Amino acid sequence: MLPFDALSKPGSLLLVTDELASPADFLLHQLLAAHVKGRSDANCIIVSVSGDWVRWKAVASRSGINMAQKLEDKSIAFLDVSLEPGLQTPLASTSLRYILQAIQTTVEAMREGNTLVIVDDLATLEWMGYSFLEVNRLSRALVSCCGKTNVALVIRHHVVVPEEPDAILRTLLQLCVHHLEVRPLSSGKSGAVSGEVALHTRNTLDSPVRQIPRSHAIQYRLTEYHAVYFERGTGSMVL
Amino acid sequence: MSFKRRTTAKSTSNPLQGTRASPSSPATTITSSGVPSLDDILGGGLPLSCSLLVLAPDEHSAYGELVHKYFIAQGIACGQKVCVVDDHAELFVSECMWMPSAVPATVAYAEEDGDGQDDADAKVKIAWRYEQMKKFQTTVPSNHAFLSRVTDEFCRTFDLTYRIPGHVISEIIKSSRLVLLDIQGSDTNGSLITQTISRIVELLADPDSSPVRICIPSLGSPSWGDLRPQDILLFFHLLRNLLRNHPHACAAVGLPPHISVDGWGGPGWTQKLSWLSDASITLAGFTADPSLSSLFPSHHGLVQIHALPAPHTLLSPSDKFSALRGISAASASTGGGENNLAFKCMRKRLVFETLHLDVEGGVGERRTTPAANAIAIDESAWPSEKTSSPGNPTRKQAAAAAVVVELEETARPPAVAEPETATPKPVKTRKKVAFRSDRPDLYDF
Repeated sequence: MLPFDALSKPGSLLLVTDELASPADFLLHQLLAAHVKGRSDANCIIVSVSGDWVRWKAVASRSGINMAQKLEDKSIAFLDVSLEPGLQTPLASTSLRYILQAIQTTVEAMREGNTLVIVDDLATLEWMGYSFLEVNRLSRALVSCCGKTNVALVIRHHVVVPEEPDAILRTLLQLCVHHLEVRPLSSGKSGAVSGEVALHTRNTLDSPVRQIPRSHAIQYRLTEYHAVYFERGTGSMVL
Repeated sequence: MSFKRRTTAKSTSNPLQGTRASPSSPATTITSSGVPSLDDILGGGLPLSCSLLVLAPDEHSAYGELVHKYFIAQGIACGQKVCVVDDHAELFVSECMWMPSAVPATVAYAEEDGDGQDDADAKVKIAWRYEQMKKFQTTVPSNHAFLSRVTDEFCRTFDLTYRIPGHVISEIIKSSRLVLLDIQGSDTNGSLITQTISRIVELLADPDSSPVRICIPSLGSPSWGDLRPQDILLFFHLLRNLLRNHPHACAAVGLPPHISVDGWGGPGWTQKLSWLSDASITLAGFTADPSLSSLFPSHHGLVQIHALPAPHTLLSPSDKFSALRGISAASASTGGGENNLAFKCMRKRLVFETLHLDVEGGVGERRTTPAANAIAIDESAWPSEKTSSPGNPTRKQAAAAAVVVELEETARPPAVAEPETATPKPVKTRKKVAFRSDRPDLYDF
């Protein structure tokens, strides 16, 4: 129900925001699967701040993606930026330039084809002590770099106070072309509905992507390795 | 043509001590927290390579510490390696609970749970249509269907009235199965955080791949120095990376009450902590708020679940298998909301259970006037009740609802006592009928 192929366009930023009660990991995995599966020239770089390679591998294997094999033939790269030595002693004055340089080097080293860069978390960098200015510079530099190299970029950002968007989110909202907003149900956790996804887009005239406002957000139910989407009010318990 | 017997790797490999495979994913190995009901909330147990954050913002109680003591006691009891990071680590370990040596623990708990009321309840005449219903339960028993494969080794049965013997502690310290790390180093620029992480890394570098439990009961206490919010978040980030790189280890971390309060580290403090830990719960005790204690007399605090571990799947195993949370597809009301949870600390154990109102004043209670034959029974029972002493009431002939009222009557002062020859006035007591769900799963309200 969500146009994953049209969302991650080369040279543009797709912003994915989520909350603690409704993590957007399933969207990142589906974006990866939609980009890689069935395409021989598709590349993907996963930039992980959480360093959860095992989970990426386990979930992707259920989508028919052999991550180990893709790593070998260099169609997928996993950049664990949490293990960088600079991260061990973060100071407010420490530069995040090394993350950008690592991504640039990896993009150049990959084979020819359509490349997608997925940054699984940007908020944690600021929470750990990096200055807002550094994180802001990193996000702007990433968008600029991907625009120049014609690489699609997906950045996931955690929203901790939904009513008050933080400074990084405000910057990302200005930079992005599409914004997938994953929210929990206001009525709390449910076994039939895990949350809802709204899609905000800047291109309103000739864009193939249609906006999905919050009032008509698509609901989803998580299974162990996938997500099932349905229109609001058409869940299994309603029908 | 010959046939070969297929042997899977699972059947040939020896399971690690005190662990088992998660029901959700065979790749996930889980270990018990020491509290069966908390294991149920976590989806069977705490997965190895994951961390559990226990927030206890109530300053007048120590329920968070109690969970950590269960965590340590379980690790020691099932032979796992345990590392405690605290300035008074040895004292903390010596205060852990232990197992009763000879008494079968399930029997002991059954006695405690019943509180001696089972006999009285058994004599209450129950209407035929409700008679076949199973007993109302608010928590998971140790032999719950989901935990049926749980052996005693996976989750030992601890008794809060027992302390861990001193010789056990000295033995496991000698054999290096218990490592006590005090907090050393300078606290400038959060270097104490990185130094502690480095010492844990050295500990985990041991080639022995048996499960290791890391327990940090009070991260951010005065002995840690003046930690800033970003230092604590950095610690959780480094700890998560450390656990991912050492998948045979798991950790339980607690914060002092003043840091556990939402808002200590700015807006969304609890959310930030929960994003950086795999499992995160808050035990909000009632001791600071007498109104909550009076509203929920049978509980000692509320349980809030912020995050649950899912190391190899998108969906947390808890969402699928937890009976207490009640949002699994197998439950009777699929699609219903999550149950409210609370905890209570009894004399012998800590229990997490569904939050429910008492029968008195509960919304499911119906009060009806007694039927004519019920009055007749009450009247026939009246003289014997009247002659019985207040301290030793006889309940053999009266219904339970009538007995309660009659005891109050017998406790009147002698000045208002009537002559024995007077006809006893029929007491217009109200029959109390507590309704329960007629669905098989009683955890879904």
